[in-house]
Amino acid sequence: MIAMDPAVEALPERGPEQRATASGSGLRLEGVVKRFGEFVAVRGIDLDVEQGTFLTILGPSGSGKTTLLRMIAGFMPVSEGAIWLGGRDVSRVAPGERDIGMVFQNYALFPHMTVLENVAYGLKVRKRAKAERERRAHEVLALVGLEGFDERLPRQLSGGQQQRVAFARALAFEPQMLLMDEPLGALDRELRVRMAAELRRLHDELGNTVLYVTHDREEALTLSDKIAVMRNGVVEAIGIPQDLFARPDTGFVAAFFGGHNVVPCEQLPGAQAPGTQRVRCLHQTLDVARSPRLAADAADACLAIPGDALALVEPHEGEASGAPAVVNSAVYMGNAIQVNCDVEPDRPGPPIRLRVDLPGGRSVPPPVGTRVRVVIRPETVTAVGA
Amino acid sequence: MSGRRIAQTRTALAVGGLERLLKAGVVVFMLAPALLVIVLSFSNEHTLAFPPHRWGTRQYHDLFASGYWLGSVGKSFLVSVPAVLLAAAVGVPAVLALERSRIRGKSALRALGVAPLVLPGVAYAVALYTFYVQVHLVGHVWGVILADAMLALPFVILIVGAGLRRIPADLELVAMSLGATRTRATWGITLRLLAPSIVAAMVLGFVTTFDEAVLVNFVGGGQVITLPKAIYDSLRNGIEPLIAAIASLLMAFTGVLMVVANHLRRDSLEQA
Repeated sequence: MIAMDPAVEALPERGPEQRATASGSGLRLEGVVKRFGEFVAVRGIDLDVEQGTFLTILGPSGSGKTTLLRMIAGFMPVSEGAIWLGGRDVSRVAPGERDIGMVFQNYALFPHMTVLENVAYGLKVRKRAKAERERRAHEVLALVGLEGFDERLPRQLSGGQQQRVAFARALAFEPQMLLMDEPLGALDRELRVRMAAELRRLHDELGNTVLYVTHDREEALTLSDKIAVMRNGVVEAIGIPQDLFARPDTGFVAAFFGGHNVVPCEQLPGAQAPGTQRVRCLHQTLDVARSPRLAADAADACLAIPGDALALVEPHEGEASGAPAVVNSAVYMGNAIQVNCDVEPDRPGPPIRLRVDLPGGRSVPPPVGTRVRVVIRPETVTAVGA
Repeated sequence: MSGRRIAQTRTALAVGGLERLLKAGVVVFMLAPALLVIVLSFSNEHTLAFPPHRWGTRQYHDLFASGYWLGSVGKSFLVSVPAVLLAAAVGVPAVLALERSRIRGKSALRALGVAPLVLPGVAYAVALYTFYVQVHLVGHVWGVILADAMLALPFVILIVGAGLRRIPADLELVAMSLGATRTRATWGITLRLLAPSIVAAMVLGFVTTFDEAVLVNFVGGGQVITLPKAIYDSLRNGIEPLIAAIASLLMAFTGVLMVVANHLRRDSLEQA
């Protein structure tokens, strides 16, 4: 795909909204809560996923994302709230009657059944005729690019092939929606990237609603129409990948999803334009974009600073602009140089470590221990709450 | 220098020789009685004596002509088969509960299920006898079946438990998401995959209960005459050479069963 300016809002080839009007409503969560005794794993999630959307739930382990997925699949009951699918309240419906296909991380293929039997299982329990089952199984196996393995047993297949069988099996009975629980997690990196691209192609072809759970932000970026970032049992932010990356709403989203530096700052009065905020950060006073969710009197205000929004200058160049820092490590990556530096190394206490992405090409990384000043370029920086 | 090396070599040789001797001794000690019994079963003598002067299949003829002995074999089947079925009927659901549910005190329950395997047999038999006297089960065939079922239960708990731990719980969830009911997912997937383990456990339980001689002596009350009980009883009037034929057949039979059980266990290992 051609790289597009993230600021471009219209993304015609990924427009789930167009399909939505054609095929009705998708998935809707209303105040979903899950308690395990005293522990609250999911603390009230409202979510609307339009029909045909590929939504990724991204979160670190323990954020409640797998619990949420299992409630949607029907493997565990909700403690509170309701789950709607295709305009039907399925909160109390058995998993098999929810019309949801599920793909697990460990494939979960039936080891005593052949590939064909695995894929046809959903049709068999639905009492479809044998000929129809096999025709449909062949159809979806062709779709996932796995032909000619009908009579193999799962243990005779490679990891990638097994994963394809798992996809085919989930697709075979034409469910309204697919749930995937880190389906690529067990594959090696190269295969993971390839399978992710293929999954995306499959989704573009089939257009069913997909809820995809992962902790890998690259996977989320490759696949998703929309991403919901989960933390401590709540959805911290939801949006298109471009918005979450370029204008994160919280420090957590900026760090976990964007991989940005998150540095505490002080809010100052007197911003010039609406939607901006004057702040003091790293010895600089700047006007930056502000997240609407940042309270004016927030004590935990931070700046989300992408690695390429920082520059390093000579320690005595110009007047005292930027913060003194020392280079901790520097790696040449081809198109970029990734520098880690510690701000104000002479100050007591743990240093603030910043990741700075310098242009690569013919440039040479600065030696470790070099004294520099870190300067913020405010254009792509956002003021957020922690 | 070289003298010491030679001495070392000699020691090594001596140790190696001793080791081989011990191994051979163990094998002979274990196999010799079995072989002896087989040899003796082809004696045509009226008393058990080695070496026999006349050879033949007379003992086997006598065995198959004897209503008493064949009856005891039949009784053994009549006790062992229901006992093993009972153990499986109780043990398999118990294993599912122990491995898959969130009940408390799992390890205590598991230990309890395996207890009959480690309890001293005689002590257990005495305790059971005292209990059976109270509930009037002594001398009743069902009493022996129940006692034998307890004896077979540990095999089910151990072998089926190990089998179930190799089957991912997600398989059942997938089946359910594909439209299967909980019952169908359990029977069609989990129990189907467990079948080799279940059969293997039942075979081992059967072999154990089939030649169980202690419990039946106590709780059988002299009325339930299984094969081991009959052999015990016959010992009181001196050893009949016919016992050698029974013992040989028993060894062959259990040997075949063990091979089958082993095969099944290996199959289920490959599958998981």
